[in-house]
Parts: sequence; structure tokens; C-alpha cells
Amino acid sequence: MTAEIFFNALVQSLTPSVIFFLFLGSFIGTLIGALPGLSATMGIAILTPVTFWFARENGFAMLIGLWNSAIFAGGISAILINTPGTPASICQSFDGYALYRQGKGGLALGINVIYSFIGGTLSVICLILFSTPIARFTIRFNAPEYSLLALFGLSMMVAISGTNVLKGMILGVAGILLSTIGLDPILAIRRFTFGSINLMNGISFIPVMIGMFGIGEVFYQMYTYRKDEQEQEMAARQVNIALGRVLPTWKEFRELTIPTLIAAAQGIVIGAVPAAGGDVASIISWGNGKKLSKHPEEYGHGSLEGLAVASTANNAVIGGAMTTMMTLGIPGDSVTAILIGSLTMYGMQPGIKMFTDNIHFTGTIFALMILANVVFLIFGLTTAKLSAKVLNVAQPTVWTAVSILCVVGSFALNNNFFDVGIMFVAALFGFFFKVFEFPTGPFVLGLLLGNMLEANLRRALVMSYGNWSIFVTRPASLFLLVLIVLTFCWEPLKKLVTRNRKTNGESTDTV
Amino acid sequence: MRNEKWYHGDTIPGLITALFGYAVTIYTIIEPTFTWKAQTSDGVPGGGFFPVLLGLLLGVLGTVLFVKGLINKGSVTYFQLDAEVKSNLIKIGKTTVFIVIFFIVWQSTKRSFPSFIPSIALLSLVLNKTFGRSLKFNLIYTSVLVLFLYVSFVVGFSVQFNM
Repeated sequence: MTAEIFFNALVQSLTPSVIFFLFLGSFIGTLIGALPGLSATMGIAILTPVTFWFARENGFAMLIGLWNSAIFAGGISAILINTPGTPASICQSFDGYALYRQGKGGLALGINVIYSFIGGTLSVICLILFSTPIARFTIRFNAPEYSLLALFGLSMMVAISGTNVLKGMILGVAGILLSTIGLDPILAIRRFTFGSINLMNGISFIPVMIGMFGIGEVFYQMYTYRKDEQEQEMAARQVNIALGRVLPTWKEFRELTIPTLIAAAQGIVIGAVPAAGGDVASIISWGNGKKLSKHPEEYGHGSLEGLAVASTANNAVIGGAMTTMMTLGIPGDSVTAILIGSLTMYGMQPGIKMFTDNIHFTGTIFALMILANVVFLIFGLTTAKLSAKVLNVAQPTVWTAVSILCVVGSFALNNNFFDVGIMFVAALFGFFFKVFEFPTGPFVLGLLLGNMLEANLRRALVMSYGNWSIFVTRPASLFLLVLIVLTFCWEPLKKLVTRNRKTNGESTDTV
Repeated sequence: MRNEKWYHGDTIPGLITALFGYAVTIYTIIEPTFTWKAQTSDGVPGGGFFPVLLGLLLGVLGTVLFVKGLINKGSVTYFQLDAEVKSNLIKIGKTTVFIVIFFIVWQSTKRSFPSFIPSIALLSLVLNKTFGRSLKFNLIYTSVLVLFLYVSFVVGFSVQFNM
């Protein structure tokens, strides 16, 4: 990616239609992000089918605008009603709500917008600077490396399944198994199609995502719905505490520079790790910010620094996640997983080809990322106080619209009722996965990366005439293999070391 | 005191996963086109390689989850069925049934008359009623939503819902 290509793309993106779709996406993203229970993933999943009717620049403008805005807008409800709008805004409620109770709600909302913009913009600059060298490095990748790359993505997802590693593995394997439906990628044998023509092309990824994160999420919200809690929350939303000024002073801005730059760096790195999203980045950055702060005692009690650090980190994740997606074809989070599906629908494949065959559209995506940050900064600052009104929407109002939009969106993909059926089955599975505490991330990743894993693993074995040593004799694949082993062994090793330390401590005490 | 039963916790999901995994493995083994090795060259996996491996892995992981559930003696109960949860589950059941009925009506009548928009309006009314919304709210909401769907998808994007 040369500067010339990027600036050409930036100039070409400054058309009325692209700007309109960026603002539209930003508006929808703000609504979705601000309303607790609606996530950026749900919004992107529902809107993706709609974007196929637009020119690809306009479609991506809407999706990217929505994504960036939804992440920053998650902080609005975190600040005003102490309920994070998206999982990534959890740390913003620690200090943001306390600031609001102190009568500094306007400033908290302003800090949220400004530092989300700074985090987002810095991460996009990193995306622009580092994606080309990473993509260039992947030129030497062949089938063995791509199969291990897919396995690495899956292993990361399982490793961060928290206490549910076993359940994460089950769903990861189930996702890969589901990806084997359809024609065999090497020999074109029909697998698990049971005579259905619709199943010949396999299970479409986007209807599954729409179902799982749309109606599935609605069902789960209905299941966990508590009328008295909802009434209390709605009452809290009606309380109007004075919001005060929105912009920080120059002195405040200067004091926040170093901690937020550190948070941005952490957010970008965490975002680049497959499956580690904004929530992880926000929690780690907030915790580290507290450790490094001159006033750690203020964290959690209305610290401007705590809020700025969390706001910076959760939007900085976006650029990191995009870097992994654009260069390696591995989603950094569930939103980038859907964007991969979207790019595929437009006939593009994330990875090195985005930097060779589709370099101009890659430049457009980078330009849209920068513009999306500018748009939500303008939108967020001008509507900071108005945005509080969004919170008056009750959950059941959203349920009907989401359910119906999921049906319409999944049908509109291919004018095919089969996709609607897939969407609805995925919704039911998504609901049960959530109830039984199965993390859905590994399933999504398994479905998305399953084909990449199988096709490349078998292609690698064709290359080596069935000799499995091909995976250890090539330096890049050996490196990836070591990473995968480390990822799987990391948690058990950590537990073993902790147990040994405890045992040693106890024996020392006894002595 | 918690009523601990063997079928609480992860035993049932574990059992279902294990049975599903082993069923996939057996089906793949007995299906003649799903070969472990390709016919083209020695050592190269065939079309059945991945499904057998994944089915078996799923079966083993499901068994581990089932055994873990048994060892924990149902100390985790996912469906805590108090009155409100029961009422919520009934709402989920009703929503599922209404959506399925909508699918049937839409698909069975689409050739005789353009049934999608009337059916979706009916679905919106029924869902809002299920979620306890007032009649006035329901009518306004449904009108706005259906108008939006008609203008954007039918007129704007020319989606052929009745094909």
C-alpha cells in the first residue's frame, strides 16, 4: 500500500453518497451501541445483507461507520445508566457513571467520544503502516502455513474461552464439522447433503451469524428478562442529572495524553490477537492504567483518566482486528468474521490478494476507517447530550424489529428461503448455547475457518505426497505449530506453576 | 438445599454432543464415498478424513463433558425455573411457534397471492401482543415497520419475497 494509493482512495471516498452512508451507519451504530443488549455484531449481522444492494464502497461505508460508532456509543449507557451498551464498554461504567453522578455527565460523554476517536484513529494508522509488511511476509505462505494459520486462529479462540475451554473446544469442532457440509474442497465429493441442492454449496456463514447474534440474542434477552429490574432501569433512565460541559480543558487533555497513548498501544496489540475483543482490551488497559497512574485511588470513583483509558482501548481494538483480518484472513473478532463473509460475497478473499489484486479497494477500506472515526467524532460531540434520549427505548420494542429484520435480511441475501431456515435453526442453537454457557465465538470461527483448514491441510499433504513432516520442515509452519502448541499448553502450564508455588508455599509455612 | 440430580448441569449437553459426534463418525465410516484416504495418491486424505476425525473428537469431548457433569452431580443448574423464567420460556415458545407459522403461511401462499407483507404485518402484531405492548403502540409500530420494509426492500431493493 503506497501513500499515493491511500490518498487517492481517500479523495475518491469523499463523495456525497459515501459520506451519507457513513453518517447513516454512524447513526444506526450509535443507536445500537447505546442500547444495552444490542451489540455491534448484531447490527453488522442484520445490516450486511442490506449492503449487498449498494455499491461496495457505500456498503462498506455503512458497515464501518456502524461498527466504529457502536463501540464508542456503548459508553453512553455505561456513563448514563451504569449499564454497558456493548461488552467492550464495561470499564467505562466504572468511572463514567461516577462522573455522571457528580454532575460531570457531559464531560464523561465528551471524553468517551474524543478518546474513542483518538484510539480508533491511532489504530487505523497502525493498520495502514503495518498491514502491507505483514501481508508481504505472507507471500511465502503456502498450503501448510495457511492450514496452521487457521488452526492457530481456532486455538486462540478456544484458549480465551475462559472457564469454558472444554465447551469452547466442542463448539469449535462442531463449527469445523458444519463447514464440511457440501462439496469436498479437493475431490468434489458430496458430503452430508442428503440429496439437497441447497446444501451443495455448504452452510452459508452470514445467515448463521444473523440467526445466532440476532434472534438467538433476542431469545436469550427474553429468557433473562426481569420485569422489576427493567422497570428500575427505565426509571433510572428518566432521571435527568445536569450534564454540564462536554469538552475537557487543555490541562486535562495534556494530563491524559500519556496514559491514553499506552492504552491505544495495548488496544491495538490485543485487537490483533484473534478473538480477543474490546472487552479484553478495555479491562487490561484499565487495570494497567490504574497501576501506572499517579492517582490510582481515583480509578473506579470518577477518574477522567480511567474513563479515557478505557474509551481509547476499546476503539483501538478495531484497527488491530482489521490488521489480522485483512492480512491473514483470520477474524480478530466476531465483527471482522462477518466482514470476511461480506468481502467474500463481493468476490474478494482477505489475505495477500487484498494487497495485490484488490489493492485499490483495500485503500478504500483504510480511508473509510479514517473517515468513520471523523464522522463519529462530529456526530458524537454534536449529539452528546441528545444521545441520552436513545436510552428511553424499552427492550421489547427492539425484539420484534430484530426478529423481523433477521427474517427479511437472511432472505434478501440470495432471495432464498433456505437461508431463512438456516438462520432460524442457528438462532435456536445460539439461544441454547448461551443458556448452557457454551461460548459461541469458537463455533463461528470453526465455521469460517474450517474450510481454510481442511482445504489447505489436504493440499499440503498432496504437495508432500502424504508426508506429514511438511508441517515441521518449513520454518514458517514450524513457527506457527510452536505457537499453536504454546496456546493450548499455556493455561495448563499456568495452573501447574501456580499449584507448585502454592504447594511450595505451604511446605515452607509448615517448616 | 439444592436438589442435585444426575441429569442436571452438563450431563445432557455432554450426552447429546457425544451421541451426535459418534453418530457422525459411524455414518461417515459406513458411507462408501467418504473414504479415509483419497484414491488418487498414497497417504493423501480423502473426503471422509475430516468428518471422521471431527466426529470422533466431538464424541470424545462430549463424553468428557458428560462425565464431568456426572462427577459434579448436577451442581450447575441452567434452567432455574421460577415463575418469571417459566413465563419467559412460554414467551420464547410462543415466539418460535408464531415465526414458524409465519414461515408456513408465507411459503404456502406465495404462489397464489403476494402474502409476504400481510403475513409480516400479522407477525409484528402478534409478537408485540406477546411482549405485552398496548394496542395503540402495536398498531403504530407495525404500520411504521411494515412501511419501512415495503419501501426499502420491496420497492427499493426489489427483493422478490413472493417468488
